[in-house]
Amino acid sequence: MKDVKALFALAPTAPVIGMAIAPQQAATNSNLSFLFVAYTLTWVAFFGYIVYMSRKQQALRRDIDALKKQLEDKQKSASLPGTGR
Amino acid sequence: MNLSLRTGLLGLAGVMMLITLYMAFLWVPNEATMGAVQRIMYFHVPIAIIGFVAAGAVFVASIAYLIRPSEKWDAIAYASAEVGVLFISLMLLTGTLWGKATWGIWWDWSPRLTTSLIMWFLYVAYLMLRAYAPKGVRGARYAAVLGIFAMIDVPLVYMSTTWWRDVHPQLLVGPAAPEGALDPTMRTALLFAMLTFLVLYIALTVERYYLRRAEEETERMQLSYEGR
Amino acid sequence: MKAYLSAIFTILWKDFLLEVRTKEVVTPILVFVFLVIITFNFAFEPTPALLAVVSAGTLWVSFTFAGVLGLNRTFAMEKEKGGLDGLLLTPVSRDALYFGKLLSAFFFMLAIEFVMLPVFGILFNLPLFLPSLWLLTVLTTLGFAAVGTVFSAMAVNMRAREVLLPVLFFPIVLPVIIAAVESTSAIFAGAGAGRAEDWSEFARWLQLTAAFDAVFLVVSAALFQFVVQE
Repeated sequence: MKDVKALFALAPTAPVIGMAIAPQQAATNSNLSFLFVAYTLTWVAFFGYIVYMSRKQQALRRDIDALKKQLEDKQKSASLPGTGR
Repeated sequence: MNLSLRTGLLGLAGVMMLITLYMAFLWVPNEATMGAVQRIMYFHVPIAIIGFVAAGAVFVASIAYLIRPSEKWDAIAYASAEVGVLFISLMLLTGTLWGKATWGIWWDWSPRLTTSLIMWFLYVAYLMLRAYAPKGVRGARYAAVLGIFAMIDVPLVYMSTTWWRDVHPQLLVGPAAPEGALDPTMRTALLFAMLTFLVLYIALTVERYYLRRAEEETERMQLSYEGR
Repeated sequence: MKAYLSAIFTILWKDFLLEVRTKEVVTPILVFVFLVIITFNFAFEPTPALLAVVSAGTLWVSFTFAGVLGLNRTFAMEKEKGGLDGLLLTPVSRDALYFGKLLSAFFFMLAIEFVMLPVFGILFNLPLFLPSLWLLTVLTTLGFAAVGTVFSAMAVNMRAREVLLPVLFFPIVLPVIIAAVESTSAIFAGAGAGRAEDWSEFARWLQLTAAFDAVFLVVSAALFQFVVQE
């Protein structure tokens, strides 16, 4: 069971997340592009998902409207004698 | 859940996300060994944990569905799986970026990474099953069976890969520093980020749930109309 | 209990007779496994050092492919002829049906593997009979068939089932395959060095495989009824 616990433990095989240092000192570290890409990707993915859902919703609304219209047409033709089947 | 509550939940997730961003970039100090790039953690770790939460929700809803079949449980499982795949994909992507930046490699076949990848395959398979299985109760039952299998499989994969890595020499990369305690501000920021992604997960799953129910309802109406 | 066992045996016997008369599973898959092994041989340009590394993987990849093909075929055959509906109409418990189909899948795969193991030994210059490897094969095949029976019963009702079965089934069965490959490597390394079999070396892999088998058997047996329910 220890294995399973380790699976859920914090921070993946990560190099140690350690002590804080003064910000100006760390400005020497580059690699900022990775940071940028990671955050951008996450945002784009979540926005993309929301857009995907709203598009699905629009398609659904169109389907329902079409269905309503068909139903109305049928009722109309049924109420007019001679024109309906 | 009514519409204004759902919109409110999404809005709350948005506001919390802004606070998380503020905390992750401006409030917490830099990390000593990894520098600024370590700030990926405030997205990566919460996303990973919420990915597991989503998988757990699929598991629970699947069991509930098999015990007492209802469209509600089925739709919860479906919604959670779809949002879960999104989270697991992002966990892998942000993880590889963090890995490249700090260890110098995109990927190593450590048990945790391997297990994450297999987990991704499992839930993608779940969505594929949803697409290709017959519609209606039969498809829902199949999905529930896979949802249960998938969750049970994750610890098994982890166990087998851990044992496997015991046998092989392991690639040693990254600073082999002793385990340090998390700085208190970092801890607060991380916990808040986790809460943010939890709210986001719930908001997205609820949206997907209602969308799914509406889709099924429309499909039923179309069928009954054509059947007349 | 006696009726239960005889139901299981009847299903097994039915599948056996069907196979003897149609010859649709074992023979073609035997040839297929042979071909996969040969193809790997070409792909790797085998030198003795390389063989030691890749032989275990080659063996289990070809067995896994063969297993999926077999599973696909057995349930598809039932479906085409309406046999599955017939089985479901009989007053046999779903468990008995599951264990019957499981055992038939298990024995078919085992038959193929037991023919191929010596052939593999010849091609890769390994001892023709390694008791530990045969025991491991039995254990792995049991876990494979346990999950495979559930998934092929599902896949048979899906679109694109030939492709979908492996996609659904491989990630699930992966722990068993990993354990099999690793213990086979240990066995081959021992055999390649000309040592007598050292059981303690891979005993824990056997234990792990057995544990996976137990988990998969319990879960699959519990869930199979939902798969065949109308």
